[in-house]
Amino acid sequence: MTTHINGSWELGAKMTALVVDDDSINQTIHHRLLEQLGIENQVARNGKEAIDIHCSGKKFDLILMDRDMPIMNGIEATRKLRAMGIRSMIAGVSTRCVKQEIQEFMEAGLDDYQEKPLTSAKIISILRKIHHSGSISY
Amino acid sequence: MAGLTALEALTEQLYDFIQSMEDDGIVDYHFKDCYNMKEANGPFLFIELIPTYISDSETTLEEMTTELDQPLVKFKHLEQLCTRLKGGTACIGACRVATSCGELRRAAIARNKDNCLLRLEMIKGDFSILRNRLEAFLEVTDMILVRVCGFPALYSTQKVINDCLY
Repeated sequence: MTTHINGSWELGAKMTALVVDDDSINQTIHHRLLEQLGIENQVARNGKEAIDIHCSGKKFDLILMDRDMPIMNGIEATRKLRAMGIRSMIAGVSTRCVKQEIQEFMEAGLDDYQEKPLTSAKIISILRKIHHSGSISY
Repeated sequence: MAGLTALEALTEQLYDFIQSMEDDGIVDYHFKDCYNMKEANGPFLFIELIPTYISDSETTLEEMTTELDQPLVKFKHLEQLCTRLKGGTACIGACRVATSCGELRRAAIARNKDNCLLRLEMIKGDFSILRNRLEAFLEVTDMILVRVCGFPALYSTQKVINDCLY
């Protein structure tokens, strides 16, 4: 169960996240934004790495999934994670703003979609959805 | 005391510089937000990001140029390059170049080579302006580091900077 206390997210266990993005600038900024919110996080450079990380047994409360990546893109990675039974909050992140493109990404299994650039406010809005769901699911 | 005053003046100059980039529409408020993000072990996250951004962007622009030089343009690949460039650009708040990327992407989706060439030239022009301002921004931050640590960031490692400050 998450509780929002004094501007930070307090949990029985520390919240964790996976940043999936091929761009080093985005990786760094998203990693730092999450850190500033007290969320432990690591980075995967593409969808395949994200899958491999989960296959190794790691699980996360939140996955920030970029759409356009080499080797395996965000749509395919999201489908695969859901097929593996991963029920973490997956938020799609992209510069794309065309409705059909967003819909295609959502239909892969996203819980939320945010247009880049990500901000603390956007991440908090995602976190509120985890809070309102009442539990952290793996 | 005189040294501290000079540091404050430089810091104020830096914020004025950021404001001028905002006023000129080159960056938006995200740029200042990124600058204010502090590295866990030191304050210079953004200073390391900017040279990486410039280098990565120049590479992507070269790839776009190469693609549009081909007799048969792969517009899908051009679209992907636009998305790549726009991603990092938007994240640091460089809104003018990000907008230009969006326009090139629309031209690529429409498979209009002439319009793509025109849009690419516009991106290059906007990026050139951005790069010049970012390099000037880095020069001011280096001056601040000289005041704080005695040497500029271009010649410093993160560890040495941290040793000075913490």
